[in-house]
Amino acid sequence: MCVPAPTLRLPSLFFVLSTALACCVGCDVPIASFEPNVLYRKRMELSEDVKLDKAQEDIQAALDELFGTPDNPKWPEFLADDEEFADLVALDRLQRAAGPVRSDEQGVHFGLFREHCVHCHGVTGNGRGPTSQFLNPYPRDFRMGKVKFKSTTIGQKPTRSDLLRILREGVMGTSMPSFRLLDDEDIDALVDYVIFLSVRGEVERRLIAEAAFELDYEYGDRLWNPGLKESSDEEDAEELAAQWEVIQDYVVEVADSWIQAAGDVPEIAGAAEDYPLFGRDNAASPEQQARLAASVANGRRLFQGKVANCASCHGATAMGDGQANDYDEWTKEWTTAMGLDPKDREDIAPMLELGALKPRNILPRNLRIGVYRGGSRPIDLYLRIAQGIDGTPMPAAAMKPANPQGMTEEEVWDIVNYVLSLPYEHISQQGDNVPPFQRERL
Amino acid sequence: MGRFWSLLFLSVPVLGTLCYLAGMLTRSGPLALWFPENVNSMANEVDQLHDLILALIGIVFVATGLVLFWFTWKYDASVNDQPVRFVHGSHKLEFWWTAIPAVILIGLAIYQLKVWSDVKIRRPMLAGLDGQMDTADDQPMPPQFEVVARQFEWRFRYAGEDQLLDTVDDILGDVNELHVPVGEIQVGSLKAADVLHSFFIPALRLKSDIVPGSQQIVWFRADKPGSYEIVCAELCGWGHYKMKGRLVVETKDEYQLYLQSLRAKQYQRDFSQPSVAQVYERDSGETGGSGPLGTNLSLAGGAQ
Repeated sequence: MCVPAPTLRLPSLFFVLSTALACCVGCDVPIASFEPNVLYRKRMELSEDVKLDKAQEDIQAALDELFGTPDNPKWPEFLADDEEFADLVALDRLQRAAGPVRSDEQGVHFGLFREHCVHCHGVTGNGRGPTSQFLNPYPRDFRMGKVKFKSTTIGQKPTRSDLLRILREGVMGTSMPSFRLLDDEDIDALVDYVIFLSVRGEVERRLIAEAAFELDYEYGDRLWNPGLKESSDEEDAEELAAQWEVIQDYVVEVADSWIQAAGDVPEIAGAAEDYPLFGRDNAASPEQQARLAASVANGRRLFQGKVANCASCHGATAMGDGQANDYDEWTKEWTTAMGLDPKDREDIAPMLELGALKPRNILPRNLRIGVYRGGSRPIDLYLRIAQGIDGTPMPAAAMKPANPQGMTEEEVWDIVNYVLSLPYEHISQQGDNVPPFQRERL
Repeated sequence: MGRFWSLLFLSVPVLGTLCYLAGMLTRSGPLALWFPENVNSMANEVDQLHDLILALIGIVFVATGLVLFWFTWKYDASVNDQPVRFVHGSHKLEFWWTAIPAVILIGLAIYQLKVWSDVKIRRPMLAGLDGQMDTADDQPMPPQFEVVARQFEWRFRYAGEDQLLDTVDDILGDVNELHVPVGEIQVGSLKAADVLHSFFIPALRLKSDIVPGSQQIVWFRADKPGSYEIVCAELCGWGHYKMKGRLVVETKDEYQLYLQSLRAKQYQRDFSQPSVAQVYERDSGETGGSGPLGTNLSLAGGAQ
C-alpha cells in the first residue's frame, strides 16, 4: 500500500514562503569594509598619468589596519595613546556610533550613524548614500575634511562646537534636519564618528597622493606591504617600519589639524553694546533708529562697493543672481581642476561611472528670502561674511588691520544689518540697489 | 470539530465587548492609560464626539459579530442536514439596514457641524475699533506663532512685541520646541517647506494637515501647564517616525522670559570660546542645563 504523496497546496506554500521572507527581513549583512575613494584615485591617475590599481590594495590594507571596518572601527593605536588625540575621537563613543543599529538592556543606542546618517552621507561618509542623488544640495562628503558652516577661518577644520551646532540645529534650506531630540551622548558619539570618517577619508586621499607622486609601483615600490610581517628577515622588518612611519606621519598630520582648529577660533568681541542691530532695535529710541538707518545705508553701500564686492555674486538686487556658473570645491576637484568640463557629458562620463554625482552649480544665496544655511542669527551672518564659507566661492572678507584696504568689524556689522533688512524691503522699492552706472542707462 | 468554528466567531463580539469595556475603564480617571487628557478648553466637544462615535460603532461592531455567530452556529453542517436553498432576499430588511445607518450618519454629520466650525472654521476674533466684540468690524486674531514643518523637524517663529508675524521683530524659536502661555487663546500659522505634513498635538485635540505652498491656521487655549507631545501625523518620508517636537505650556511670566532668552540668543554679538561655544560643549547635560544664556538647549535633559 502506498502512502499518498502530500499535495502541495497554494495557501500553505504562500504561508511558508512569506514566513521565510519575514524571517530574512532585518538580517544585516555585515559591511566588510569602507568603500575605496575610486574617484580621487581616478583623478590622480589621470592628472599624474600613473596606474594606481596596485597601490589601491596597499592603501586599503593600511586603512583597514589603521581604522578598522564599519562594523568594528578603530582609532589608530598611536593616536589613542596620546591624550589629546584620544579625546578627539574616543573609542567608546566611536563604537556607539558605528556598527548595526541596536540598543542594549540599559537602553543605550548603538549604530547611530547607520540609523540616522548613512542613507544620505554613505557608509564611508562620502556623501553618496542611497538618497543622496535626490537631494539638492547633495549631502556633504566628509572625506575632504572641509566643513562649510563653522567658526574657524577658511582652510581650518571646524571645532567640535561647530559640528554639535549643525547636528542640533540642522541646516535650514538643505535636507539636513536637526537631531536635537537625540540624547546628548548620542549626538556626541555622532560627532566623534564624523570626525573619524573625515580623518580616515583625508588620510586615504593623502595616501593616494603619496602613491601617485612619490612611489613607482613599476619599480617595486610599495606604500604598505603587510606581507613583510611574516618575514623574519631584519631588512624586511626595517622596510615595513619605514613604510609604517610614512603612513603614521600622514595620520598624525591630519588628526593634528583637528586639534589645531580648536585653538584657532577667532574671538569676536562684537561692536559696542549700544551698536544698533536690525530686528532688535527697529523700535528703539529715535536716536538708535537713526543710527540703525545709517548702518543699513552704509551696509548697502559696502554691499555694492568694491571692497566687500558682495553684489558681484549675490547680484545688485541681492537675489543671488550675480553669477550662477561656479562649482564648489568638492565638484571642482574632479572637473575643472583637471580640465574636465562639468557641463560636457562625455568629459565627465567616466567619473560619473565611478559614482560621482552629477555636477550642479553652486548658487549664491538669495538674500531676500531670509533663509540662511549657516544660521539666522546676526552673529551667524557676521561669521559667514568675515570668515567666508569653506569649499565654496564665498571668500572671507578682507579685514583691517591685516589688510589696510579691508573693512573694520563695524563695517561688517553694517553689511549684516543691511542683509537682515533685505527680506523686509519691497522688491519694487529697490531703486537704491541698482548700481549708478545701470541707473544712468535706464 | 462540530460547532467549534462558530464559537471562534463568537469570540469576536465577546473580545470586542471586553476591549471596549477595558478601554472605557482606562480612558480617564485613576486608571487612565491610553487617552491623553484634553488640555484645550476650546475643543472639549471633540472628546464628546469621539465618545459618541466610539459608542455607536462599538454597538454596530458587537451586533454584527453576534449575527455572524448566530448564522454559523445555527447552520453548522454538523447539526443542519437541510440542502442549500436559494433565497431571493428581503426588501424590508434591506430597507431598514440602509435607512438606519443613513439616518445615523446624516445625524452625526449635522450634529458635528458646530464642533467642526468651532475647531476649524470660526477663528477667534479680536474686537475691532469700537472696542466691542460681535460687531461688524471685528478682526480675526492674527497668528502669534508660525510653524514651518520640514523633513523631519518643526521650526517655530514667534510674533514678537508687535504681535504680528513677518515683521522685523519676529523671534526665532528653538527647533522642535514650542512655548505658549497657559490659559490664553493662541493662533498659529502652519507652513510646510517640502512635502505634506500634519501638525498633531494629541493633548490639544489639534490636528491639521500642512500643504506646501499654502497656509493653515489653528487655534487653541491650553489650560494646564506642562509639556506635551507634537508629532507629525502624515507619512512624510523615511524619517517621519522621528519628526517629533514638544509643546511647553507655561505661565505668562515664564513664557515672556523664554521669549526674552530666545531674543538674547538671536542677537548675541560677541563670539568667543567661553560664550557661544560653551553652549555647545560636550557635557551640556551638566554645565549647560541652563546655558550661559539661561536657556535649555537640550530637549532630552529638560522634559517637564
